[in-house]
Amino acid sequence: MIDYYDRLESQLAHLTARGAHGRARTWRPTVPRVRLGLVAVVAAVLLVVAVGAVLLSAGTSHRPSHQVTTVRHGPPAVHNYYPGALPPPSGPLVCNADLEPPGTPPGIQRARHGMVFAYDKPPTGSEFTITATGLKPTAGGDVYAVWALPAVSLPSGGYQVIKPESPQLLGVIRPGVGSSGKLAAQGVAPGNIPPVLELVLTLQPHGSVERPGGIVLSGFAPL
Amino acid sequence: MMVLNAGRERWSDRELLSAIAERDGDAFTVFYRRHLPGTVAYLLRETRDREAVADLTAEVFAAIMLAAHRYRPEKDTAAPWVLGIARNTLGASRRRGRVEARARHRLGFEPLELEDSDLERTEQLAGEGSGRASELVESLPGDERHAVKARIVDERTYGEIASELHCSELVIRKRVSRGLARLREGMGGA
Repeated sequence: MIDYYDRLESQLAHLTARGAHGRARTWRPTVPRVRLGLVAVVAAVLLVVAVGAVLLSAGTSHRPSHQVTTVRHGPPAVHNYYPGALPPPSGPLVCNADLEPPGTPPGIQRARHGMVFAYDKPPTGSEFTITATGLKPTAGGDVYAVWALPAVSLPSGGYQVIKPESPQLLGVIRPGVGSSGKLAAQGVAPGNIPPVLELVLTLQPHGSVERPGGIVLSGFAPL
Repeated sequence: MMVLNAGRERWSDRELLSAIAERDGDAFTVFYRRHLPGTVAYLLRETRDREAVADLTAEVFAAIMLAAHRYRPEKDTAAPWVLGIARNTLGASRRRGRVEARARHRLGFEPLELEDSDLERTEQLAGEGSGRASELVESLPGDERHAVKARIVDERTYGEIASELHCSELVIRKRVSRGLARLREGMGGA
């Protein structure tokens, strides 16, 4: 007679054979080389055209080089949908993690807490959502930002940040958090996201995102 | 029970985990059967809750599947590594107040129904796991038994054990190694 443990064995063996564990541990699916090559060629052509246009423009207008207009791209945005609902996920769930204020002991849930979910975003991307409550409303030009710190999972089961000096900005929460103190935001993760990371929500004074501001919430995400 | 590829049953834990990482479903089956009783025994001893044990066991083996590619053999058997994953899964579940399901979510695992007869099987497996392992450990020669218990069960360092017994770390390492080899042989290879 087939029992629970036999069905468990059967399902996990089937998932192993399908390579479900290989896909699950990859934050971003591999882009076919052909496509990467095509993207690289298109990007190179666009770069040449753009540089040429800027040089031509500078040359014909006889303006000093420091007056050449450049387009400055701001940090990526993590769109805050609250009080509306988050859009449906882009793909299968990759992982989720609790977000807690610094120094929160195990088993305790503070008034300020949150969760992060990561999803595949076919064919080449990844998407994450952050929900949180108990946040201080943004004011005076301050913004919330989401950062990723490369980490490793330890044999003991815990996690350890390995490069605290190399935070990666995933985006700035826009619009900011209102008087409800709640957040329901969605953003897109870059391709070079570390496989294991500490995800950190910070409050950035005056909108500056040169380095992480004060940590509001954080949690480890084994991708 | 499905008839397995006899070759894989002779594989070491390291070989099985390496094959699991490379999508070998049969290797997973062998590894699962090898470590299921010990895992269930540990979880039941810690929780005394047969339903929770069934749920936790699913999460533990899902986590093992995900972590197979990271396995670094430091010992002859992966039993301490499996036990570590079980302990972490249990700890995370206690902290959250619910059975951890992260690994299963990541794998797209379909929930399984649990019936009364499954709870009896949980106890049966736990009996197999604790009985067989304890019996084998107790059957080891005194110095090896002490070294294996101190290193594997109590998780003490080689240095600590050597200091207690007034001998070198090398001696303790050899005793643990010999003891684990005997256990592996007694449990049908690992």
